[in-house]
Amino acid sequence: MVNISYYKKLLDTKALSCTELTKAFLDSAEKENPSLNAYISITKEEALKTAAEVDEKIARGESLQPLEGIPVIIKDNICTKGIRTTCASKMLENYVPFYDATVWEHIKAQNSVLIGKGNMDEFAMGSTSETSYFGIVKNPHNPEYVAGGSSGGVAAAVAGKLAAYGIGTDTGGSIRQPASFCGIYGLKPTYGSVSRYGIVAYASSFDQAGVLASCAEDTALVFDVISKYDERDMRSVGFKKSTYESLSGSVKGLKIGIATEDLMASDEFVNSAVENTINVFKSMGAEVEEIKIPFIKECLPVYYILACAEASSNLGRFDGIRYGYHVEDYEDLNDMISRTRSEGFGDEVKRRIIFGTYVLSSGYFDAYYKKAQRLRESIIKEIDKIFKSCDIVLAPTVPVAPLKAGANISPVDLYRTDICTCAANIVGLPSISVPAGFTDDNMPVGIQLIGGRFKEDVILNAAYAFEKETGGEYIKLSEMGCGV
Amino acid sequence: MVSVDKIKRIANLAKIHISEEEANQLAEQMSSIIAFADEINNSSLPVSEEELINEYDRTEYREDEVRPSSDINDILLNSGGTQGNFFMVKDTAKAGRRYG
Amino acid sequence: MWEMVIGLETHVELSTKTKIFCSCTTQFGGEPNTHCCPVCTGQPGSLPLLNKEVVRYGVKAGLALGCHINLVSKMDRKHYVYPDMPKAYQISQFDIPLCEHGKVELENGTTIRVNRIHIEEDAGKLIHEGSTYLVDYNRCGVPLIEIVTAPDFRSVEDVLLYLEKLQGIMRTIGVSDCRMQEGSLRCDVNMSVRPKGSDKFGTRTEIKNLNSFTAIENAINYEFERQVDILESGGQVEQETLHFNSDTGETVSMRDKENANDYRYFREPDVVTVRVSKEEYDELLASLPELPDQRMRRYVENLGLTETDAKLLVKYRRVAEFFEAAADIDAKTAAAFILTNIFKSVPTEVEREEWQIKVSPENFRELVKLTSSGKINRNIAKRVLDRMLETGSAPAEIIDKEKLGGVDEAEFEAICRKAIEENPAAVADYKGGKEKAFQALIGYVMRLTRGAANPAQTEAKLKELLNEEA
Repeated sequence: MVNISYYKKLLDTKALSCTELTKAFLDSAEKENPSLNAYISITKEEALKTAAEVDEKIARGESLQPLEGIPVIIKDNICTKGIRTTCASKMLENYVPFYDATVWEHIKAQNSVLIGKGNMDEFAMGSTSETSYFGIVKNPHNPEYVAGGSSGGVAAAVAGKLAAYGIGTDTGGSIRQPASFCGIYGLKPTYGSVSRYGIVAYASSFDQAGVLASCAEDTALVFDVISKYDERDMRSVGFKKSTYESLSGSVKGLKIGIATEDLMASDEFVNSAVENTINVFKSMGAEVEEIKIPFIKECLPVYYILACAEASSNLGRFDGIRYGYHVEDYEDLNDMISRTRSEGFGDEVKRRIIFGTYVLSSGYFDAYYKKAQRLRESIIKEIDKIFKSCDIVLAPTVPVAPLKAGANISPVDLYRTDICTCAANIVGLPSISVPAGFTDDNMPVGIQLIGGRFKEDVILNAAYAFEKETGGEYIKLSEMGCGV
Repeated sequence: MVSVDKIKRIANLAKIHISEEEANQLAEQMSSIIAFADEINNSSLPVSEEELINEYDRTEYREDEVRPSSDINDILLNSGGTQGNFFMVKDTAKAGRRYG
Repeated sequence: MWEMVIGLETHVELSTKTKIFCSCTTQFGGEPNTHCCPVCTGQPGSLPLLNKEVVRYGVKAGLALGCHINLVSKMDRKHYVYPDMPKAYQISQFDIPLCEHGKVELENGTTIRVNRIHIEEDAGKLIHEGSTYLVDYNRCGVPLIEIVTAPDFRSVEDVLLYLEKLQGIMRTIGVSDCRMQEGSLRCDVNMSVRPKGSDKFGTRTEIKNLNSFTAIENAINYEFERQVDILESGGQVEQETLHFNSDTGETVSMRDKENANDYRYFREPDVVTVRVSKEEYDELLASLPELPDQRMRRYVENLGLTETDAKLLVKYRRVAEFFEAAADIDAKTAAAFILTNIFKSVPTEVEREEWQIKVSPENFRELVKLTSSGKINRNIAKRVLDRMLETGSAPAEIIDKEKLGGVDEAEFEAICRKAIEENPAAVADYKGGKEKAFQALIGYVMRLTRGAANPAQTEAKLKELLNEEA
């Protein structure tokens, strides 16, 4: 299996030096990126510098940390000091942060080798990575399809073996959905497990950084590194255990809930993947039972109202004065700001800002924002009830098969594809997308394992057990990438 | 239905300049998005007041101790215009004209 | 005929060491943008981190103004676009403020209800210079409390008394310097006008940009006349925000023709619930120092000072504390020394605030003791005090060095006898009923003791000796 252990072994056995490994990844990235477009920036200098340091460490006979020397891709809405961080927007095309995001600090401390910054939907708003100012991200398995979004670049790079693992962000499904479309694992942690400090905010009460990797073990390993309490994020709680050490592979007696009626996909291949997964878990001794989530439909509008409201607020700071794009032609200050924002933001971002402003505006606040907020509280209560009797809720990741590039789906229709993923963001629960099947076009299909609050160890272990049992046959890594 | 006039007022609040054409387009798009949002009215869930106290919220806040501020060059690093240590924006500008 | 109805919104800058949401210093001055960080310049990805001291100061202020404290409150985002507000929203408190329902009693009998006090962040500074805007974010994020009163003011006097009282309280409890000239006290006046005796409220205007007590007084008077003129000529007062021009003395409309700001308040998701534990509440309540009012009452009722003197002493916390170092020995003497003597060499408000004088409380106490017991007389004491202010030395030292010491018993009696001997005419006059002649004897003793003798004791001694003779 090509995963972190695989690369680690190469380094440990000195089959390759870190510099050689890094060069191989950089070469692949440079070769494939023009068509795949997974990277907005390829950080050659930074990568080789880290690789050299790791090689020195190896030469000194020092033992390596779990992620040391391993190639990584970081989504481009995560601040990396001294390295351009664009959020795939014209607004931040040349923005160089002068501080590090906490999650990046953790990865940096491991001396992982940064191959580059991952392409994405602009400001993380989207489900296809087609709204990027830097062009769309193709699916590494088939360029006719999108990689998904908004962490499309990260998913494509990991699935395309242009990075060994990646850090993305998930607000309504943005890690899990591209992971599903690309045939790899994508973990959205419990809200508060991972610090949000340094992650350019989209929707503050939904955003979480998480892991994309090629196997369950790797996902656990990386999660353990990034899930530390951070004083700088007031909502940060941190995760107390080691999920990697908790991987037993046993799911005997695990209570799995499925909502066949309420959370059914509209695609037959997705449904058969779900069915197959259920059978595998049953055969491993898990107890599967039907649950009802009749309110799942309102999760969508609740999510969009609240997320767009928060987004409209978070993006107010982009006015061209302290940073970012600004127009050169204006009548007065107000004009400068309005035109800057008009030119700096893409259509989807503007749509969401307008919608978010609308639901917060006087006269509409009560009917939309306030009502959605109150519904959110109710949804949280109801779903918490479910997890009193279930350890895990199993569901499709996406109700439809992977989307074709240029499909030109209407905004609302695209929003509806978030139905399976957005509930976990509304409630703040951890959820992992697990590769679980294929369409007849050989495109990957993922399923979700949603856990109770701060139960990442439970869902990671279940994913691990499933993977062991099925021999990882549903994981799909493209042949385009690094052949080391 | 969301009126074009309403869209213009919202765009003004959001400080995004929109052309007449964009206003018309957005009015149409907003109408379908609002219709989508209206689905919350179909909910059979009871509404709950926001819980102020969350069991995971920290109760200790930050100590009042001074830490070094950022270097002035970093603060100004990405700005559109500076004058000495100030952020600077011209009252009005025309592309192509240079100001001293 | 007409009466003014006023409510005040005051912003008080808290004197914590760091800003409300980051650890940058709140120190005044400093080159522009050198007291900043990702948080207070609103960099993408930055997050606010609440300063615990700000919450404590807010609670203290609320307690000192008799407020109910909301042990559970929250922060909200208030949206508006202006270059001095880097996030395009201010983190403030909207519907659940930290403190509510307090009151302030003024000396003239008016009671002002304090509706609410909430904590929030300050904006940066925007300078419009010629055709350029310059922005400095040093002040951005400095913690403020906003104190909002009910429209209970009915005169300029009410307003000024309230503001002075507020200053005294804020300084005494140590949460703010509360100075208008420095911007740590800012005041907006909301004013409407109505016929005397009516209980309906007229349309109110908001007056901003008031930088001094004088400006406030002038603005209120001007606006009152302006509104009365409008109403008397049958017009309607327009609800608007006015800017006070201190040069012309007029209130001018701020031509903000945009729709009234829709602040789109919603709960700040980045800041957790603001909680004050019962223990902390009790601790803060117990830690409240005696407020100026209570202190003044105590000085008047228990120590026998006049109201005027008491008011002057409590106005400055350090002066009051200094006074109390000696008040138990002889309050009136101590007060006199401070108000008549020391204040002469500490003439300004600021100096009296700081009270950086060379006289230590212990030495002051000693001086009052010496004076009160009669060991030295008032005149000598004043000379000693002057010297103490210059040198910081102890009174005993000075008295010794400059030989200002009182006369010793035997010597004193001898001098008194001498006075009687050497002034037979005066003695005869006195015995004959001329009281004034006695003064000559006292004066003689004073001369011989170089002013060191105590007048009362001298009088007693002379009379004793004269009676002996009789």
